[in-house]
Amino acid sequence: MKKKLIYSIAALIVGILLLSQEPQINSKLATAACKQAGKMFGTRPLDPQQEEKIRAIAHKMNIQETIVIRKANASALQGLGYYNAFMYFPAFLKFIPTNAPAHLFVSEGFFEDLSQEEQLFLIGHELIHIKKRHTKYIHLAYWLLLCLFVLFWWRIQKRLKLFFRNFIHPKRFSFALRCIQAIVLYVCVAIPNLSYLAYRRHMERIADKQSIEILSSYDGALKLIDRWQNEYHLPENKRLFGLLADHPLHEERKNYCLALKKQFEGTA
Amino acid sequence: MNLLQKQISTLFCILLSCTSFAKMVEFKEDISAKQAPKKIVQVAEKAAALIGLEKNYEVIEPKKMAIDLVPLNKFIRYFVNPSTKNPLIIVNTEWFSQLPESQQTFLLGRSFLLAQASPTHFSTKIFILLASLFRILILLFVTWLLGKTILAGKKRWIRFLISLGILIAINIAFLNRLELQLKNKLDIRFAMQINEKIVQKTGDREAAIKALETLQRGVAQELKNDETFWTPYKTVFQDYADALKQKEN
Repeated sequence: MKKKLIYSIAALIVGILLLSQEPQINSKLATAACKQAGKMFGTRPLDPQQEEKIRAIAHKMNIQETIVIRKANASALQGLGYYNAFMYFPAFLKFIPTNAPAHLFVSEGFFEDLSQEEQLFLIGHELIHIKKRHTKYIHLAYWLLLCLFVLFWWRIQKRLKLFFRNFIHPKRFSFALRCIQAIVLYVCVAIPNLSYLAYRRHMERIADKQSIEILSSYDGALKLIDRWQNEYHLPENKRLFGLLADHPLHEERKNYCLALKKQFEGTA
Repeated sequence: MNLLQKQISTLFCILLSCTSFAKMVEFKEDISAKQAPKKIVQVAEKAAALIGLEKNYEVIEPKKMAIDLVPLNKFIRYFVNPSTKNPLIIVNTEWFSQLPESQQTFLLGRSFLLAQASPTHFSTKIFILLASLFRILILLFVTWLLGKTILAGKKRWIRFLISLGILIAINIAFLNRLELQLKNKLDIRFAMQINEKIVQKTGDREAAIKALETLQRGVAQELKNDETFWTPYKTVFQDYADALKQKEN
């Protein structure tokens, strides 16, 4: 009975997800997702000259995708940093992918305070994310993985009980089993989280490297990372060697930028 | 206001400033703000003396970064500097200089008082305590209530976990929003009392109403630009102005 219920819920979720990709429904979801993105990150257009500059870089990188460029609002700047630019694929309820165009949010301070080469690197970096559709499906994948692991945890309850029966004294068995179940659940939830973070770091590395290679923005990258580190003290999660961070650590980024620069200078 | 009245009020301010212990502390320029210009500092000194501010204070001018990050810095904003514990007023000179001095004095005076009072105000300290207590009571009540249902036979910790889940659901559904609304209402009432206090000290109700209305007009202009930050400020300054008008009548 329980098994049937679980499978029918799973089938329902898959059905809803498939239905959401039907063009007519998807376009409606896209409109809602764009509205939500505007509320979260800003709706105001960027200065036409600055927008033109971004589009020129996109053209140079041969990026054909439609991009909506907006000025980041106060809450986005507070959350993601003042001298920053970031892209977002509008997703319905923040995880169901839609066919809405990618949005690029930029702060005005970005253009005013960063040097040309720094701007070139960072815009190139974000455009690579858009070209490769890096974050388009990542949230959906994360939730599906999480559901799968929780389902897995639920399915192994009996086996856990049988396995640990031989090792634990019967008097303490009930309490010990609860503890074990909690630990296994924690691990099951942690795995999708860690995988998500690892994939995000991988995406950032790809975007960094490709932006540098295509636009030859080695110096821009190094300067910007230095600026983040020393001038703006951009917080980074260094715990467990950066395992819990969604971006590679500054030192790592600097190292591969330097390696790419040397490689480029060698071939030149 | 005739000349004699003006002279008396200036004399009164000087006398007050002699008894007041408040002193302006110079702000060290950083990436987001700098020391406010002398002209504004002079008005701030006058306002501090007028309200009898006892703490040292800082008056600063925001740079573009600070305005972009917190749009309220476009006008006037107050808080307590976490490192020095002084009331800190952020004034956007460009906007502030356009106001007549009487309005500037009112806005600075109210900011000083609000900044000074905010850490000890009911809504910040006691409210957190009350909210936590309220949650604990709900949790205990739901646990007890579940004991009267078909879950009565279940172990106590299972009932506790279920009631914890119910509490989380209640929190998400309406408790947080309700508390926020209540806190806002209390804050507004408190700010209204402060406004009235300042008006009594300056004796210029008209200037106070006009200053608040100017502030509201500025916010309305920002709202037109579709900046969601301003949504909670949609009518708040107009409400303050209306409250002052009502007291006048």
